[in-house]
Amino acid sequence: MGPALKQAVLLLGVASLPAAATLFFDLKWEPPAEFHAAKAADVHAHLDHFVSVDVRDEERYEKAHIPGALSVKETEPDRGIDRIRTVWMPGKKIVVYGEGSGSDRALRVARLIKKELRTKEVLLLEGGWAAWPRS
Amino acid sequence: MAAKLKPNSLKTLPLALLRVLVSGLFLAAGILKLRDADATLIAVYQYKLLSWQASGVVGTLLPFVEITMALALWIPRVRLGAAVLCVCLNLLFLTALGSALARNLDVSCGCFGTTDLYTTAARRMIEDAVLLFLSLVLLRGAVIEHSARLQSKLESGK
Repeated sequence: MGPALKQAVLLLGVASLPAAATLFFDLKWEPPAEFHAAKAADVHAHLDHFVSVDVRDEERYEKAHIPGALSVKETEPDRGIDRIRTVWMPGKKIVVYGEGSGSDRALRVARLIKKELRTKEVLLLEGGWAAWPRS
Repeated sequence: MAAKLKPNSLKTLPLALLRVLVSGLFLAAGILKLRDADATLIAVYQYKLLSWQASGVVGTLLPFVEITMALALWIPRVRLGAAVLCVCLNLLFLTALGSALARNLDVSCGCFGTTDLYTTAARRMIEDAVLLFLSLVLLRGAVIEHSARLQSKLESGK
């Protein structure tokens, strides 16, 4: 079993080099962006090219939202997906937004929509609702 | 004993296919873990076997070990060691999953990064047991191959 252990230790040594570098330099092996970002100004200018999905609380949605946006509750995903299905057709982009940039809720809903509707045309609104141009 | 078992006497194609399967699985698992380091750290910590800091070290090392091992399975000179690592890793995973089940911990496997968050520990144990069996077959093949190489070295040295 001598050579087997020697080889296994050698392989562990090889594997620990990049691991040590990762820990030492605090490297991040980021995946490529899962969703492309849609610029608020572009969505604003071409509203009819997008199906907007608002994942914020209903209260905030009632106050103001992107014109025509559907409110989708993360807790009732099936209802939300059904509503998107009624207005979405392949070729049309779906833009999901939460309160600000990096909304986890928006990301989760976007993942769900992508999976359920089997489309890659799901985007996240850059900056979220906070970035929407107020006029 | 080793002299009787030559690699040519093995069914090499099934063994190569098995190698593709096992190395492919570990390669995919390693890359997915690497792509979401935070999820891997949390998955390791969820087993409550290691501290948060130790989980960070294991979570960082594990994907690299998996990737190195998967690639080394294709290098004859280190195949034996890779097969040993493969068996050890599967035993480690099985032990961790078994202990989580025994302590009634609600853990997501975390074996494939965030893609298998909903795979139960019990199901993953069955899959790991199958993978362990396949790894043992690979180890047996690697031992035979290594013995044959030693034998031929001895013979050529005479």
